[in-house]
Amino acid sequence: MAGELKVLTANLGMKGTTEIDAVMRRGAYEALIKAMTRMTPDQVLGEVKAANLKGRGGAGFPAGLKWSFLPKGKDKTRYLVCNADESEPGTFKDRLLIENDPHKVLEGIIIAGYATQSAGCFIYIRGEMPQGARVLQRAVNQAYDRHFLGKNILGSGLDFDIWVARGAGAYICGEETALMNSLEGKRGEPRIKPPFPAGYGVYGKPSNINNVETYANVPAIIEKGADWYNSIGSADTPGTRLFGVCGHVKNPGLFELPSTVTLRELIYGHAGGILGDRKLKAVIPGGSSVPVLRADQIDVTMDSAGLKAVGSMPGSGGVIVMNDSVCMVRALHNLMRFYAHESCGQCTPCREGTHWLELLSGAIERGEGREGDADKILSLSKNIMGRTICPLGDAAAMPAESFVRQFREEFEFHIREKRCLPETMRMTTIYSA
Amino acid sequence: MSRDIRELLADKEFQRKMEKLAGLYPEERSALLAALHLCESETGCCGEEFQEYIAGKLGIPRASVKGVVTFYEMFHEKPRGKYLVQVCRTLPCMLAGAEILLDHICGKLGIRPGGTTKDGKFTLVTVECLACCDRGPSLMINDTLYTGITPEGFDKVIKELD
Repeated sequence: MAGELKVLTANLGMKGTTEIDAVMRRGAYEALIKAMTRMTPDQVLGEVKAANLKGRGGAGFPAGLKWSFLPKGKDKTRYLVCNADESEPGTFKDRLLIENDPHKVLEGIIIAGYATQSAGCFIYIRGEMPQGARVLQRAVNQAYDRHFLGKNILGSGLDFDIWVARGAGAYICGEETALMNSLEGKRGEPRIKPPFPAGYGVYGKPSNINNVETYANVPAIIEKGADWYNSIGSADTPGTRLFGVCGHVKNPGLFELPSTVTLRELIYGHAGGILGDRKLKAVIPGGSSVPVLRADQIDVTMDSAGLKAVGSMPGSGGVIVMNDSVCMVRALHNLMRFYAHESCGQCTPCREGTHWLELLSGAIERGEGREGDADKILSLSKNIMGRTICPLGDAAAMPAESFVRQFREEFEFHIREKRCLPETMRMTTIYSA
Repeated sequence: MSRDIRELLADKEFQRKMEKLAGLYPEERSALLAALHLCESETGCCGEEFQEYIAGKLGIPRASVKGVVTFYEMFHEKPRGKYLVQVCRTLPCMLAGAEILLDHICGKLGIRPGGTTKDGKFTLVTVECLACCDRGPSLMINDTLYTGITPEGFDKVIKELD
């Protein structure tokens, strides 16, 4: 089993790492100084592009390419946005980065600001993370004091600010254009695209949005170079990734690994195996929105190619492990309740579809399911997929479709027998294990 | 926490905070969520009076402010209990035992999710994923996060609240 490779998490677990003096003694802001004093903005952009840094928020879009979509020119005001609205069930990596090493994130953001010659960056953090917001604001103030933010940073001619903004409890605000509306003091409803954020973002200005972990990758790329970055991980997802493992494992937590690690190594090696020494039943490998896998599908690498081969995707890196005490109908109902609750209601397929998926899975779970209900879930999912303004509809349809496809017999048993499988009558919890 | 809204709006310190918020972002309207958070933490809700005040202050139509207050889970138009108990109910916490915990809390406080205790001390709500899935079950009481909490642990926590 390959060991952890601590690039992004090198400072986690150390003392005082929210303080700028402490992290600067450990090398923080050296990449920023290198970028702004020895490289041109285009060279920085070129390095990030060559590194093939993939977005870590779920979609995996190449960050350098995204940056290059911003229109150039001194007459344009460009903004960056850092998406810290971490709310994908099973995902807890950004919270740990922000609360424990905020300067790593800030350094990446400021380097991106230099590469794109932007005016500033909004960090949009979940309302439910007041501690993270305080830590970030304090770190931002320290960066201003050190002149890493403000006017003419390090004599480079760049004026760059960072604003911390709090959300207020809406999963949909993790969607990029909903987030931008929320930043403008509006309801978090996604915008119709095009226009894309690179042309029309915050306040209608060209904007670039990346996830917290994506920005946190930038300092190491600048410091050590694209070749070094590409020597780690796999061809489709170079570098390390933060995998958060939760659910029925003995040693849940965050693990930083190259995405060449297999799902089996992650669950049985790093996370210590299955809680209660029971059998593995199912695993959601990249946050609740990606298709679920069965126990016999875990011998795959955690990159796009590996997970695609078994019909899933890396998503946000949140791995939810379920042992054989879990009723899959009940688990699906829990997730469908989540998506129905979080749908913003703009698009009919999502607003109505998620609601019906919640009702149907709930009815089957309660023993009120009727013959044909499993197919109804499949048909509802199919009619949501790709028919909405934003990906929330897809995010509900993918688990719905895959739960039924992968565990069809259990759904049929429920409908026929009006009860759960015998082994799932009592679910393992941390209290019972 | 449970200050009167009229008293709050007349408070010089609060007015200073509002001025500062209004100037914090490139455009004033971006301060709306922050202003609502502040009112929520001071008075326990964002009622009509504050909505009218902040609409005027930031130059946003009143209807839009109401639209925002009612969109976001963390804002309330009506006052809630002194302590807002927010129990995560999403899958990872469910796997850890959130349903057992929630049942216990309902019994302990004598209310269902959405309810407020008769003395106005606790309002219980269920919330979605709090992004600490490896340490579930999780809950928040006002701004404070508690993870890996047992039924006994919950009893101890609320005993220490005044």
